[in-house]
Amino acid sequence: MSADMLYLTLAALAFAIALNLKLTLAVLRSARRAAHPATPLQPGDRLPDVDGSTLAGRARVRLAEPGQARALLFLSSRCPKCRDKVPAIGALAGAAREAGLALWIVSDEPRWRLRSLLRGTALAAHTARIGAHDYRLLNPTGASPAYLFVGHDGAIEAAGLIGDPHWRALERQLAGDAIGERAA
Amino acid sequence: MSTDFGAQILRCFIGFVLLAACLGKLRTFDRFRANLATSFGVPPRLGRLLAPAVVGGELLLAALVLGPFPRAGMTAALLLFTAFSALLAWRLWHDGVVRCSCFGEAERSLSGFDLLRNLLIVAATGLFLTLPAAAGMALPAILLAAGLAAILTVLAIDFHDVMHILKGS
Repeated sequence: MSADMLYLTLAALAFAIALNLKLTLAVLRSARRAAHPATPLQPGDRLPDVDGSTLAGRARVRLAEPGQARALLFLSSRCPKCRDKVPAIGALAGAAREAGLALWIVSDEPRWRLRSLLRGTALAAHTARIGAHDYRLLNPTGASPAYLFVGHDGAIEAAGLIGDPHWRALERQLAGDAIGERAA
Repeated sequence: MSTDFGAQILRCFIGFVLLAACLGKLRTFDRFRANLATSFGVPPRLGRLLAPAVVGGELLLAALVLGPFPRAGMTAALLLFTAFSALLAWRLWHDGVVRCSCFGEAERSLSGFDLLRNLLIVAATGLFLTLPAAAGMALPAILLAAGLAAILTVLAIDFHDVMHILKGS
């Protein structure tokens, strides 16, 4: 076999490998979409038992721990709407704590991105980082800005987008509680 | 031979990357133009001029790099990639979110891996310029270099996905 023929054969192999890589990546993307059907959690479902660590202090958090009502918020640093919601959520966190509602921003993003998203607020103490697999269990559609309201028994009571009627009702309720406590 | 062959791979790699960027933006042209406004604050009227200018510029550079003026094309590509990377890094640092559609990506926004990919492309372009001008090569050797560059190009374009697959997420 001549050197030229060897070069041409190797070139054909290299192009075949490039094509194979491209197709393999496309298949993997399709398989990933098929393996994780985007079915969001519904009211009445049990919250999956998911562990995380706080953004501030890296303390361990068990999000499904029964005994306390909680609101899980899904914010993404990649969504401009989420950035707009951060100041209002920061103002809500104190009232939620006083009302006995645990408020957690849940994310699988890197810490530096979360710190950038939450800059200027005290929400780092209300933020739990979890793994990408666990995040898909809680928020399979990747919706943001979104919430899950979880009851004392660990069952989901409401799910939706921040700003919808359920969310506004919570805001009104917490604002009312705060005014009531100040009056008392 | 080995230095010339390496330079040929780098030349084809950068040429293919420029072609892929150009074709990717053309494939999702409306989204690319919208991203200029939403992620970079370019006024819509200017965006209508800038979007085709960027695509045309990349096509011209690809033609220069793969054609008869590789060093001039690579020098211009180095400036272009460096400027793009600096702009993207600044917007990412400043806003935390940038949608680029640099290679026609769907809704995914820019990631740290995309920035790292850009830095590797800048490094490859700079490396080519440090190598002595290549002597003429036989066509079969050029085709082999192009084949190897095609592998690098696929890895570069899908760098974000490849890294996530390697991370196992």
